[in-house]
Amino acid sequence: MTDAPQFSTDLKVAKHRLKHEQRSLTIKRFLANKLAVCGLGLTVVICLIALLGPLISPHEPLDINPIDRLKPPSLEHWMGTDNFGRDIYVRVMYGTRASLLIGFSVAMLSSVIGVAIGLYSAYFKPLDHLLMRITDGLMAFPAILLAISVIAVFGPTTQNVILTLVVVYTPLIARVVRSNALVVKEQPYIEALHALGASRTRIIWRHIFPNTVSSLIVQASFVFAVSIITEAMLSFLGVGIPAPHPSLGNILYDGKNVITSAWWMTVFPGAMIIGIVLGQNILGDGLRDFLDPHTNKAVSKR
Amino acid sequence: MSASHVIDVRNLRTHFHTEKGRVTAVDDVSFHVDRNEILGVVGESGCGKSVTSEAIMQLLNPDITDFEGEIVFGGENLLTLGEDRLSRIRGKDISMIFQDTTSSLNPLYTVGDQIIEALQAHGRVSRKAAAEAALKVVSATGIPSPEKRLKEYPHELSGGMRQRIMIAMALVCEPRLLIADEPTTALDVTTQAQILDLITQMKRDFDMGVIFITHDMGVVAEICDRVAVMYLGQVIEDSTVESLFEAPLHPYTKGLMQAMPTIESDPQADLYTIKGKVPSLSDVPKGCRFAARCPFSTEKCVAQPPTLDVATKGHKVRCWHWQAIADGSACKVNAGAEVG
Repeated sequence: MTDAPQFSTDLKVAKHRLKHEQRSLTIKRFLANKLAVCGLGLTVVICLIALLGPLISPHEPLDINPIDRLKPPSLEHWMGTDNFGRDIYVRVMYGTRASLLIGFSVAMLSSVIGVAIGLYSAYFKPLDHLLMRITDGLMAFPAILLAISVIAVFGPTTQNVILTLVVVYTPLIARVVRSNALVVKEQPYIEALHALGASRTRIIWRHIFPNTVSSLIVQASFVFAVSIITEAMLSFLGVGIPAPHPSLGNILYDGKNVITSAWWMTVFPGAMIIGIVLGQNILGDGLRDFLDPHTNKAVSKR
Repeated sequence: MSASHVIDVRNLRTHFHTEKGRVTAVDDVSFHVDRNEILGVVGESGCGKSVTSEAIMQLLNPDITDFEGEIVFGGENLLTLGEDRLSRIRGKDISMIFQDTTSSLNPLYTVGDQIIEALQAHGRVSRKAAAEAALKVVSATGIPSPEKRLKEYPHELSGGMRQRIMIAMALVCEPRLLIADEPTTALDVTTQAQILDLITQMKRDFDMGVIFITHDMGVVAEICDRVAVMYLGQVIEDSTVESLFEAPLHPYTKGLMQAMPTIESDPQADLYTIKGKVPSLSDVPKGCRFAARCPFSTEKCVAQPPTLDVATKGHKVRCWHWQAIADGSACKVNAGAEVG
């Protein structure tokens, strides 16, 4: 009996050490996942550039300087100037900010709505038929066409672009969440919860939802990337972020006419789009491998 | 009379709508459980034991299930109650424990959280009070160092400990009726004995009725007060445990008893088996459901379904010839017959 307290403190210490070891193992496992690390690194670097980049340049994105129009990259203008003499570097930085803002908002909003739709349609059969048919309909409809018509009616503002993209990409999230929730719903511990008298809201949000989070994160990161591409496309078509405000898409559009003489107007914003989307996609792939080691099949990206 | 029963199931019929048509999984089942009493429900797989318990809990998918009869609990017929009222009864007044402890606990939460949640699902209890109640009930199940266990996840516990946690979770709201659906089948024999002791003790402490579903006659003899033997959706024998083990009346029950090896059985001899196989639920025989496998069956058995009659006090049996079988005057006309 005398060494019992000694024994229990030893156990506590061992347990603490085990927890610590487990945590460092998890971190190691994440770092060993090269895809996730590269993707995260690229994304973080781009976010930092977009945040801090404009601060180190004296130019403003809307400053017009006709004398300096279509100048190649120089010490004064690091990425050259466009056909109005605006500094491309600053415009790309602001455009990246706009893209990231849109990508983030769309990913968040469509996750929230998609999770609710996915969970409830998995849980309530009649609702499932209704919601999934609507979802199928939205998936079948070309995203660009829907976006163009919505913006043609409601006007091209950043909010409208975000709302349209949310409508278009919520089904992607809802489907993934639903299919996960359908599996979890049939688990015996959900039946046990019914037998304990837990309410539906409690079961859905406290017990089914946490089981869908890992695939939700992966899918949301793809929605992030895809909505940035779509926003660039919309801006390129003139129905995205309205004209004088910089966005990667409308810089590309301005550069289109002078692509043979001013390559810098196409290359820099294009490279930025590639960078953001590549970072997000790699991060998404890496997260999928990290969070769900059982599936090695890529989640459909579109 | 029925007011004293914790639960009174009267003429319960459960029909499922399947692709092959309407299937009656539970046909005219009646039984009751009193306070401080364990009713064993025995039968082989697919005889309707689990469906009966799920009908009491109303856990079956209402889209494909029809019910007839009554399940009276606390003066209310559970079959006619709405979902809101039911979810207040479930877990609070009637609790259930399951066979598969691995998948009956959510792997994402600690067991303590899950017990606390079971409490909080029924009424506003502060987290602190709930945690204290959880600790109390878990200590009562005899788990060593309960404070530590409550902070652990289901995968960190052994099967026996998880079953104790399940029992704690079921009992934390002090129900009047506990349904135990083969709670010891997945456990090894020593743990099984401990869990059985625990259930018996909890029954006494909480003064509750227990429906104990099993296919193990040994377990029935160990803990039950009364037994209902089920075969193909019907109760074929309902008796006190003493009377059943002393003199089983139904040929099927006799067969079950004979099939059980005892310490005196000759280790060289083959085990007794009941010949034939259980008919499909979608093709139920017209007369006695056991007739095709019964060594005593007659034309009357094939043509007319027997009723559940009182044989002796507290002992009911569903057989035309129980009297003749009991005094040995029935001859084994159908001995060895394997009617498909």
